[in-house]
Amino acid sequence: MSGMGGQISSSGGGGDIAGMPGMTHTAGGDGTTNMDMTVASMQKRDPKGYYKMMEGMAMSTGQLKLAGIFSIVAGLVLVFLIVRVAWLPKPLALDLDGPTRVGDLLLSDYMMAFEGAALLILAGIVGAVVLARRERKPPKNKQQSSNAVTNRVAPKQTQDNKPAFSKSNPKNVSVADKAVASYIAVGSSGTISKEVGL
Amino acid sequence: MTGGPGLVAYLIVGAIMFAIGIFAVLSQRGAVMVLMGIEILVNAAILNLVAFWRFVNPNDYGGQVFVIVAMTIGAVEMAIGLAIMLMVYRARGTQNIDKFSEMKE
Repeated sequence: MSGMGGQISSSGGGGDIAGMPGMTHTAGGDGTTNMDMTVASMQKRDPKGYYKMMEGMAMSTGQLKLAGIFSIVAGLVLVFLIVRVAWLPKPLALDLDGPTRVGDLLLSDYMMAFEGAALLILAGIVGAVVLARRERKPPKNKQQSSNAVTNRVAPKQTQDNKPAFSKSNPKNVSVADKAVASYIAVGSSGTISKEVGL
Repeated sequence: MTGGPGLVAYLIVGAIMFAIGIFAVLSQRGAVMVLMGIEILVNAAILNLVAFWRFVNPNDYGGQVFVIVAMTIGAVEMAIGLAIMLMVYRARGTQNIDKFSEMKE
């Protein structure tokens, strides 16, 4: 992010007439920054490491070519199997009040499937909510009971609370102790000096 | 109502969608992209169901009921998959499926 900002500011300050600060990193020249130079030097020095890094940053896995070949072959096989069969050439005639009949079927012949689907949706929603929420509750209890910092759900609160409790109390105690000690020392030395003076 | 493309066109589109879904599932690294690939696979199957219903026995609307149930299952599967991926992301801090390889060792 800092590299991006530096790139924009440097290209703007370098007097690039053509503008397009985002495009200057390919053109080189004035627009190159530290980030681009490191990437370029890395590409020159260690191309294998560079490509490994780019492969690690890519969205696809290392088996991209294999997956492409396999999927293309699978699609071709499916198309071949489809084309081989002599299907009915034309769609049959269709009566036009389809939605009405679908609704009738949903509530008469396929009522069990309909209710099963409804139950499935309910179970799915409950399951999704439980899965998505389960992580949230235990750290809240852990925060108060034990000192385990999971820093997944609410890391700020734990990290803010713990030092506040652990550091402020000894500090206050030590400051108070120092103050009391210095007061005692001053008082005693004062009395001593007074006594010495008297 | 008898015009339009034949059954083979729908089936070929379904096959292409199936191939795209397989490619997405096999090649993508993000878990959400894999879920999208699975959804493409499900939709390819549903497209085949609709095509067969329309061309083989269009006056029995049970085919459409079947498609509705299949779509329901696809939606529920997507919700559960997303919830699982959310949980895994919370536990691991990443959605890169290459990092979920404990069962391999």
